Amino acid sequence: MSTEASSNYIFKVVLLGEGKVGKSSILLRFVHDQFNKNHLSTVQASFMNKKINFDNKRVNLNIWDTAGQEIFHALGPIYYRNSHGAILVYDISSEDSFDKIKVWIKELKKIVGNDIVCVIVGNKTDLIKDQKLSYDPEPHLSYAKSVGAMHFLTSAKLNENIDEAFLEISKSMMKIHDEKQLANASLNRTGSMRRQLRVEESTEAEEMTEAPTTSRCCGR
Amino acid sequence: MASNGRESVDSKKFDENVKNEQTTIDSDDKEFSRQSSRYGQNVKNYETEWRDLLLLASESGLRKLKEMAVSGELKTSKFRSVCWNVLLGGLNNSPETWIEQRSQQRVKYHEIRRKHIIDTSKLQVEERDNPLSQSNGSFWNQHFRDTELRNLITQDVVRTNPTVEFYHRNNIKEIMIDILFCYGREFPEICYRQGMHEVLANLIFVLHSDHQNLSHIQDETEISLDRTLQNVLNPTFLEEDSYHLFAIIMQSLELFYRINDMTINSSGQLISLPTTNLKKPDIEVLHQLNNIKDKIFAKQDLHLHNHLLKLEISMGFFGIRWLRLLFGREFNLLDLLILWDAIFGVGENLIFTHYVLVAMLVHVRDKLIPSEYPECMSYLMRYPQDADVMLIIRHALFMKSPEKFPCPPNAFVYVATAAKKKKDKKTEDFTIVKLPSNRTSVAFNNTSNARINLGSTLSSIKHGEASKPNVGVNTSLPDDGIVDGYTLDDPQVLKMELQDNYNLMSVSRSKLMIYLSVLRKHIPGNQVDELHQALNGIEELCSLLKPKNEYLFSIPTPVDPAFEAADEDTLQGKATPVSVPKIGSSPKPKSPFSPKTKLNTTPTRGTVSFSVPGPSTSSSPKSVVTRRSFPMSPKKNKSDNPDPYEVPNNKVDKAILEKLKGMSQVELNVMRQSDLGYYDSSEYPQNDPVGERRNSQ
Ligand SMILES: Nc1nc2c(ncn2[C@@H]2O[C@H](COP(=O)(O)OP(=O)(O)O)[C@@H](O)[C@H]2O)c(=O)[nH]1
Ligand SMILES: [Mg+2]
Repeated sequence: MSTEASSNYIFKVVLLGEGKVGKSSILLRFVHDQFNKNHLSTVQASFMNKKINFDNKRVNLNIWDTAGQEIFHALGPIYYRNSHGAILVYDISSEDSFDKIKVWIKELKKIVGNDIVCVIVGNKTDLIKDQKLSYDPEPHLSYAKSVGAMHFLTSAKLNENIDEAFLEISKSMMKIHDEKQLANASLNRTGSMRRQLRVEESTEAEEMTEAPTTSRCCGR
Repeated sequence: MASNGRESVDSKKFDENVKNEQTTIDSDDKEFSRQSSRYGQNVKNYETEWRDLLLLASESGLRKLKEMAVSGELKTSKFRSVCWNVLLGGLNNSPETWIEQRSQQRVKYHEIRRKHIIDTSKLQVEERDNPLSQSNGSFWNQHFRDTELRNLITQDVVRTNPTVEFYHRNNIKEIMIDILFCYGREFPEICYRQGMHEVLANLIFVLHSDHQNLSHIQDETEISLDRTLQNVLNPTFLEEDSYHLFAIIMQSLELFYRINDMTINSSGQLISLPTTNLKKPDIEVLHQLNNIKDKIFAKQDLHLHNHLLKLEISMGFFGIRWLRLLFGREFNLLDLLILWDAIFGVGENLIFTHYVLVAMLVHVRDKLIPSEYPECMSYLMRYPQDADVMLIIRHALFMKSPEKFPCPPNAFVYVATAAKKKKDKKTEDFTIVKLPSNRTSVAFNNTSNARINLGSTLSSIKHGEASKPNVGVNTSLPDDGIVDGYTLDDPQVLKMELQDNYNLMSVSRSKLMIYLSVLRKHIPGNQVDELHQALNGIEELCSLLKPKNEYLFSIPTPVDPAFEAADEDTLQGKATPVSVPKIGSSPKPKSPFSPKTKLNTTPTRGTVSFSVPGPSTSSSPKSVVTRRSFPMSPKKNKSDNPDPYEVPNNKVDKAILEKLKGMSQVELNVMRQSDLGYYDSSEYPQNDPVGERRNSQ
């Protein structure tokens, strides 16, 4: 039933990347459409929730924004474990911050595997417009391609491409989820394929909650 | 929310008290009316407070100082930094030696500074080796690493509390960076970690405020103040004295920053030890949080504990930051300092933080319990700023030392009854839940806990047990299901029991009210006082019998918008259907936990509505079951793919999750008329003497 038009999706997404590349700014822009030059630095992590409508489907995003030295290796896993998507942010004015993305991709593939949708985001494109910076995205694009990740150039300051990035990652997560559901169904719900994905029936599909749900597993 | 209203009134009262105190001082001043003597009075008060502090700092006064610290009485202290030093052992109990101590501390900091902060320009050329050399002992190598660590620190420090100008003065930023850098070098195994900067920021602020107070007083008077006072609060030594206080607090706080099998290199980067590369990092604060969860949280509020567990909200998500910052982001500064007074006042290596954390959770339980993951997470990641800090402190004190501190009347107290249920057709579903006997006996020994005690006691009477409170029952533990010293059970059982008790309380209240009105009618007005007192007493008991959380199950619970959780719809004020499954229209419940029911709700955005029928309506359902779905997100198959980074779960979690796993939904049962056969419906009053029952049918 999850493939029906009225389905709701709940996804967990985590923002990763070096400090000060603009992760929190991107999230603030996406969720509240604000930009604040002087916001508090993130300590450890913060959490925001946003619901989007797409193609007649409702997608509920639980988004974790992370920070700090320990996120890599030590504490990161508690945020990206069970995540459906990861947005890896770098600052287009800092090649170092892009190198960090590569390490992150490796780490994610190692720990979470290929099920997680990765999107690479180069932030602060407004700096190009200000002519403070020349930037050639080519090597970054080809790297993204090589690891099967989408790539976006954004500006949290000018609100460029932010919604698009979140929309695209949502689409991919939905696609993966629907494929999983299908595979699940064809495996006669043995449960072996079940992942952290879950779908909640929407209000319209309410009557169906009484039937054994496929998406919530545990059916025998 | 009723309780919140009460709490905030309480805190207002508290503020008013403080204000009143100040106005009394002010009006005293006015009696002198002449400006000069008014200034004189300020100086006098200031000196008196200082002399009092010297007494409090002595060995015999320390107990009183601690009492003041935990009861919020240092709120207006002009010597808070000194109090903290005394409480934490940063200054000893002999004020006559403070000048000497201070000078030693300051000298020590200068040595540390000299050792770690190398001024490259002052070095002789021959002492420097080739800047391009990367060899380990190289001076330049060290210099590069220092720069990296400094950058790491600077990046956090420059963004400390952007709205407070104080932190953005250049000298303050420099002081902070130097202190954190020195600390990082002095304690290389901890080094600098994000979060420390905010703890330090508050310390510097407090120290600076004390300095300011002193200098204002000095401006007002010709006579010179006490020599010790002038020395201890000498503003010249802001950096030195801040470092000292910071280092002392870090002695205990570092535990929350510690990662056991990782090292931190001198640039501030964490690296795993080669031998332990595949092991999951051993994060000390997660152990601490697990301990808090099992040893305190589960015992204080198993219901809420299980709720968070069910939603897979691990304490680490919010607890790490709460503890590392000493709750710095959870309260506004003035409240935070009061909280710190209490934490330092209790001492014992900041052990009080554990109880504060739990008290904070319980404090927002009415928001958490009806909420799903996103709302819960938002409440925890952005703790309500209007929380009553004194209530939280008092509740935490009660949790820590119930024999010394009373339970604050406004606190949520959760007690599972251990009363045995009569066997009947439904009892298979029931298991007896017990809490460690000390917890329960505490509740029963405490008179201010009357509301809950009464409920539990009544239920044991009702169940044919002797009228003694059920403390004794706790001493015998059943054989199965004991983990870590207490019995585990389905949260469903607990919820049902809790609601069962609520129902019982409601019934008792209604019946008592009826009896009361009958008695009142027959007792002539000019009877003995004692009789009327007794009647008033009964009435008072009736009000106590009103279940505190009843509204949770009887009215729609609006979820206060939390800033970070607000989605675009809320912001734009558009109402859109949400993903909470509609409850009303289910034709037949399928879970074993829903007895014969009719469901009745109004779908409300982001909330679950509960409704309770008036028991008098004979056509009303026998019970109301409000079903809330707790979507289970299936775990990854662990045996297939052991996750080396899994957050440590403990036995308790595992066992509970095991029990919850088979269920796709958990239901809350609200029963006015019980299906469980404890009492029959004829016992219900046919009217509603209190007129309080909500008629939702
Ligand atoms: N020019 C520009 N600055 C940005 C942009 N996004 C973020 N910033 C700035 O970069 C700094 C770090 O941003 P922040 O969101 O805190 O980064 P985080 O540490 O990754 O969360 C802040 O001063 C932001 O104002 C952007 O799109 N353009
Ligand atoms: Mg951030």
